[in-house]
Amino acid sequence: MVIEHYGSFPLLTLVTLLPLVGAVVLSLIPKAQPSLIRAVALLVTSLTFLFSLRIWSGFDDTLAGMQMVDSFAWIDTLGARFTLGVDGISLLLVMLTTFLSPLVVLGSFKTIEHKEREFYISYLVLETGMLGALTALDLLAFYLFWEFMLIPMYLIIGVWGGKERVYATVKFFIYTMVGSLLMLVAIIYLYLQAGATTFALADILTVELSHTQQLWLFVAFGLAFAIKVPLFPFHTWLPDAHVQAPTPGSVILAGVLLKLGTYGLVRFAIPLFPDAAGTLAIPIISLSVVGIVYGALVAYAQQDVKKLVAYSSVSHLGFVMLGLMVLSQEAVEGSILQMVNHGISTGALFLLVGMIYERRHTRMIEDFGGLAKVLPVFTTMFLIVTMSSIGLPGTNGFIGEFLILVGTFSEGLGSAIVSIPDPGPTQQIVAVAIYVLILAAIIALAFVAFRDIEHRVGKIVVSAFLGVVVLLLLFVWGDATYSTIQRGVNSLRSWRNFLVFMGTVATSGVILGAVYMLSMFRRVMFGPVRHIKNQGLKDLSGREWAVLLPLIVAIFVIGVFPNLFLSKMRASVSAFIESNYVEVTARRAPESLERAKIAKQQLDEIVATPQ
Amino acid sequence: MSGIPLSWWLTLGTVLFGVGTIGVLTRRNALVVFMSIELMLNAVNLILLAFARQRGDEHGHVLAFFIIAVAAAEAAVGLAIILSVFRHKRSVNLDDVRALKH
Amino acid sequence: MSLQVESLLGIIVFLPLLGAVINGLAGKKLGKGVVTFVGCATVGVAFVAALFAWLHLKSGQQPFHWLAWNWIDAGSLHVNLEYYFDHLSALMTLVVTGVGFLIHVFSVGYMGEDKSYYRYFAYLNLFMFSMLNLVLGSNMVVMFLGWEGVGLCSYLLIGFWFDDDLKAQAGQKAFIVNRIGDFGFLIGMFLLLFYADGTVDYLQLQSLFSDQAREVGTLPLRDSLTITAICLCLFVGACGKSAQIPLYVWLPDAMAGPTPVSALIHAATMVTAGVYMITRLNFLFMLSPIAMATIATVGALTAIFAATIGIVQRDIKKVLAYSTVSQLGYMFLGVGVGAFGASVFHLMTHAFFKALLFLGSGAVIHAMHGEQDIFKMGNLRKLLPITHITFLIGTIAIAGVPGFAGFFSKEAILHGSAGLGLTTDVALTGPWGLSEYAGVFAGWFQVLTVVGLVAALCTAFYMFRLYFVTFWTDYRGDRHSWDHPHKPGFAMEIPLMVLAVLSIVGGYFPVSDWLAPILSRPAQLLVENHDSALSHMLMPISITVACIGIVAAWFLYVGPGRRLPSLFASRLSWLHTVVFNKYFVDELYHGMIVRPVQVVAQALFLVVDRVVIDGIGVRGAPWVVAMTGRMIRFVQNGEVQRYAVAMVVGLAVLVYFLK
Repeated sequence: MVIEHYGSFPLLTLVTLLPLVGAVVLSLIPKAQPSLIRAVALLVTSLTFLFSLRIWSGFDDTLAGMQMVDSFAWIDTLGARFTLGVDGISLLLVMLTTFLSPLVVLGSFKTIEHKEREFYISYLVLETGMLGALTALDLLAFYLFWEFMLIPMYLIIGVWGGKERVYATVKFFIYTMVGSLLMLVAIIYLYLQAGATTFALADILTVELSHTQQLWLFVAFGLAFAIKVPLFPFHTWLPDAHVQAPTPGSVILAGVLLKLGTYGLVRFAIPLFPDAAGTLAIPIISLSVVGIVYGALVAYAQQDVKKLVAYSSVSHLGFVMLGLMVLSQEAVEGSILQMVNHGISTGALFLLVGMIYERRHTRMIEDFGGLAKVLPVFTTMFLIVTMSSIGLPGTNGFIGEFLILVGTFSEGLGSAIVSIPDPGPTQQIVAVAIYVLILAAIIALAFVAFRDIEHRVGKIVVSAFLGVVVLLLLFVWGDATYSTIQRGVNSLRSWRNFLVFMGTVATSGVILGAVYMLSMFRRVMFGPVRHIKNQGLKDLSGREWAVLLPLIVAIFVIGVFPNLFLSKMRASVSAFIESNYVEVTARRAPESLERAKIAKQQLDEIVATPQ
Repeated sequence: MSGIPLSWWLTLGTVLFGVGTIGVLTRRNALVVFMSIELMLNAVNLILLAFARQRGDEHGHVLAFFIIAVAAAEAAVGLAIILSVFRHKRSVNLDDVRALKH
Repeated sequence: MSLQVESLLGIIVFLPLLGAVINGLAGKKLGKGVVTFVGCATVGVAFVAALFAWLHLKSGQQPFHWLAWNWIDAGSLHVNLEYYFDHLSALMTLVVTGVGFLIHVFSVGYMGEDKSYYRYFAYLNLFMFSMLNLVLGSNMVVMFLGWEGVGLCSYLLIGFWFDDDLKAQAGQKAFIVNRIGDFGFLIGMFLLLFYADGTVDYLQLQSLFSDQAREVGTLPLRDSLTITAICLCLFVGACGKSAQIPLYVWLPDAMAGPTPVSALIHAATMVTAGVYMITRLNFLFMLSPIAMATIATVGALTAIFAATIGIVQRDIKKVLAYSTVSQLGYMFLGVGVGAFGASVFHLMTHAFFKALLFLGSGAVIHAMHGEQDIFKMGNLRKLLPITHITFLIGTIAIAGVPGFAGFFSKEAILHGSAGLGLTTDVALTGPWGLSEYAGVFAGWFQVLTVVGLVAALCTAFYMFRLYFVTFWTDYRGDRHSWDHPHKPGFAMEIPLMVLAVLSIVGGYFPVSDWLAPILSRPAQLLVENHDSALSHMLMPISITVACIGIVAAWFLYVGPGRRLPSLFASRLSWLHTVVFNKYFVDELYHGMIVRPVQVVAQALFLVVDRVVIDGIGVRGAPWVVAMTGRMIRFVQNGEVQRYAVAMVVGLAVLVYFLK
């Protein structure tokens, strides 16, 4: 193999492949020495983190492009090269991966109690897969790493998982394979289109594709990513995989693996096929927002804490997808930060759930209650992470969600105003449907209320109130209500109204997040200690402190000093937006194309002026 | 032989082949099926030889000898199989031998 | 002063945080004395620092900023973690730290025996930090930081005794209802952010909107609609935090927390955040007559609605809670009619007398071993003389007796509302012109004034009912409590006395004049042009109203009419039932919102996730494959002859096509 890499020292390659080397070393250690195996795994992941700190410190945040590029000749006959590089977008995710890995290893000491060596080998291979997928700049290498992650994850769930792990793994595998095979086809198609000489992302980006070609390819790539994210309605593998996976598996699955989906969208799907991204922006945004609300509502219906957290991921990742597709500076920066935030806070939640599971061997909410009394430190940590998860200002969750929503609103309201055409038959049908639904809902509510309220007078008061509302809506304000609904439905045909509407619905996730997280928190932590088994549980051990403390610190550091992180990605994100904005806007909101062009000019000028 | 036109030989061969085929497909007794196969092979031999005479070369003869040799081997192996099936199942009825599915 | 005056803001804001961190992390090991010292001293020092800063401002200096650091920079959004000390925030800071300090001191006595003493003080200090962020923040996002922070502390403190399910539920309810408000706040903030080109800083916003107001009636319809939308969304936030209709339901339940918490968070400080926010953004709200009228209407309705519920409650803290809701309604009526100064004035006096009343009720509950039903008390003036006197002062103040604090501030609000009436020649312009605001809504504001007067009557009545039943008549509780009351110590009595003094002298502080600099030009003009027939007669009317209320309470609960209340309750039992059960609003919300959300959540999980996606989608694909396989399996039956048939047929077809 001819080594011809450009940089001075192949740091990125080192960081990426170090865990793999560690896996090889582990395979040489005798099985009978689990503590040595654990120590080596911890050492390797910690070393990887230390080396990756050098990437962070050596990163020049004024540059938009790829940095620290390592490129090796690989499969010459295909023209595939082994190229790795980071920019502001992937840097944070690489850091997240290397940061979480030693914590996960440390957190798994008590969880994994058989086949330790195989577990840590899988885990280290997985880490290489994730780091490689995050840094690969060659489509074939990316695909290789992408599949590389799948098998260890499959093993982790399938071997060390819970009772229904087989169902979960098969579901996980089939879902993921469907997506990735389509992606492979698309990659080969792109390779052929590019003259069958190169897989390099930079070269593929220059390939001219018609709109139809873009659409098909975007769907092929997008499906792989949407399943990984997971975007509603491709999410049902996630709760099963999470619930069945052992704690370290869940942490790394939620913490990093899901981010590969959103990352793939930013790195590949949107830049390669901006026209298609523009055309599909509206459906994808709609699905993301549906996912936000849906994930939150379904999380509220869960009885299993881990499943609840899994569904909350669907909701959180909906925010990330929304921000990416909105394509404004604030929203995309917010999305990338939110990926990191979700990795930290959901990772911490899974770790916490795992810790309580190790003590009680159950995760059902009803088996707990009153833990705050028995486990004060645990409860405090849980509270902090919960607050981060529901986006309380001062924690990391707020910054991400806030930026995404600010971006959505500013992009929506900032687009040019267009006159909206008169409502067509579709709009009228939808409006009638909504009107009827509202009436039906109120009538249904009157019945529910009548049944639910115990007090006799209360029944009458409440039902009478609702009856009056129905009468008013039908007879007195009927016209006004209907025409308001119709106008509202019709106005969604404009891109800006659509975004504002979607932003508003997404913001309601703020309420729902509090609803499901707090009611879970209350039922688990507060109230009297109901079960005898919950008395006398031991609070956090030193090792568990060591696992959680870095995450808690990260929650506050990102929440209080987000600029440390935002500044790293600024240049890359603005380059990303600049290079795709016109194409995307031309498709999704042709009416604001002029504005988009002006914006692009301004961006060009900004980039051109030396600071 | 020279008086009989080629088409007659071919017709005879085809008819013999058809009889053999129908026998293979419809009969349930393994031995009869076996004989029908022999019939088909010999029908082919007949046709090969007829063409060989017509063309005046020896290719067809060579092929016919091969078929006779293979048919002999086949008869030996096939009868052995039928015998062992009979030992196993006490029957040579093909409907009783349905092991060829998953 | 060698110290930079700006850095005082840093001390004011971050000292309580330091206290919270010390008490929270190490409080268990430090011991009670240190916890008390850290908890109280940090707030005390913050109060002193606020006094210095106030003196600086009072000496005619300019308002000043203190920048902690750049918080969020992304795209066109630049948010600084910055604090701003002007006349409004000075007043709020003094009230928050001053009343806060007194309540900290009171808590030392009240919470002295609690096992989680250190946790209590950590939460309380964290609350002070959040509240100071709310009032001192120089932009909307820092305000939101405080806004959510106080919500969190309120949640933690309501559910402080978390092993009681009901208390934990009350905390959760408070947080979630507040979040509904925050949803509105966020939407309003996003719309405002866009409208103001990414500006969130108050001063920049003010100059931006003042420019617009100056252009005579040129604000295009779209802009005025946007501004109205912004204002209404922000007002939803205010409704949540300040317990206005329809989001007031959490406040009565919040009484589950320790009583000093009710005094600090749910009476004096946090719940006034909405009033503060609207006053802070008065330049914005003045541009939207519709939003202003909505605020005034909601305020007046809340005032009367809560007051009627207060009349029939038996729990001493519930009465005070509904009274708080009602008084907050007054404040919103005030800001809705543009009487911002009067509202903040009432906010301040209310902080004094309501904190006093809550602490007094705390002393009563403490003495009665946790009993909260006023009909199981009585004649307590014998047991608790100091509490009795101070409680009486608070009751007089809230009832609106001339000379006490509440009288002046309530009068100012009603005057503002009534005075809007007949002035149609106010030469002002806004989107639709303030003259139209005053003109179109003139009659309506007269109605609201009358509503306010009726609410004042109710207030005087139920407060004195509470006072008479608790401190006069005969004792009706159990003997043990009477024989062995927990007498309040100095730590509890001194704050009571200080607050009692403040409840008297607080009314003489010229708040409206003090706040004049922060009001936008339209708001100032509105105040200067108050005049109507009603406003001239207002003072005698409201004095009469207060007296009627007090006398009626005496007549019905101490005097000769003592049998009448129970007679009313039995004769008009349906009315009593409806009002006593708080108009069944909680049940209505439970049936209309909580249950449906639960049902929908279950349905989505079971139907969409399990059946549609997993059943039809995920299992559907393998099912199709399996079914196809099952059908094809008939061909493969293991019979050699059938295979041979297939071969022959295939061969025939092949031959046919090859020929």
